Amino acid sequence: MKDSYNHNDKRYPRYEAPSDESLLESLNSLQGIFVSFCKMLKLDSELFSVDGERIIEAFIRVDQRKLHYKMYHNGTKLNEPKEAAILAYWISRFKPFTCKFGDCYYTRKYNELFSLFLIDIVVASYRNIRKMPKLILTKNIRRDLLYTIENRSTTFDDMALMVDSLAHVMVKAA
Amino acid sequence: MNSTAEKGILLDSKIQMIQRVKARLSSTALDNGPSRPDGQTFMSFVLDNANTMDDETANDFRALMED
Repeated sequence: MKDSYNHNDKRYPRYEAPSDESLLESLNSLQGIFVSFCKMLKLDSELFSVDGERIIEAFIRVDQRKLHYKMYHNGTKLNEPKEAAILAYWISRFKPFTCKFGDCYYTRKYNELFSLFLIDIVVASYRNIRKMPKLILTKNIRRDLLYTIENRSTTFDDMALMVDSLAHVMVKAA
Repeated sequence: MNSTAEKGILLDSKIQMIQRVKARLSSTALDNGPSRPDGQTFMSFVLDNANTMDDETANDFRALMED
């Protein structure tokens, strides 16, 4: 990129967010994923309200990062674990889900637990597609991951590295 | 060595240096790309697998919720 930037130069296209239809499809999918999450926790999903704008912003932030990889890393496309990590990062930061019961502590916790759920599902499915052995995480590892999502100063790139490592780790049989 | 030749060597080494850095930054070994079927979006991939969690993992999540 030349240092003399010209805003009208067509060689440097501006970022274009995904289409409305594509964002709507993603929103609907996320709604379905959240219902599965609630079902797994044996909770009624109707007990939660969702801030759609925060979710859309999370989708757009992920898309922007995908474009960054494509532009600055020779057309590289993100694999599923990295994409899940970046989405989980933004969900844990924006906290789009609010529970209509309990206090703020639970609202925070459900957003972060949902982020961990996304990571868990994607890592397991990714390893399944690639015919890798199933990764068995202990409850303590999940607790540490949840603590990391909740309290540590990570960036989305740190999260992507961490989740990608989990997705590719090979477990040696005892 | 005259000054023009010195300048030529310096220029060559600077160009080599630029090319080395460009090659390093254009590495494609950073990722292996998506593994889901062609045409499937990331979110529909997650949705399709959202109900595949085993009981043991689900129990861990319920325990974490209650921690």
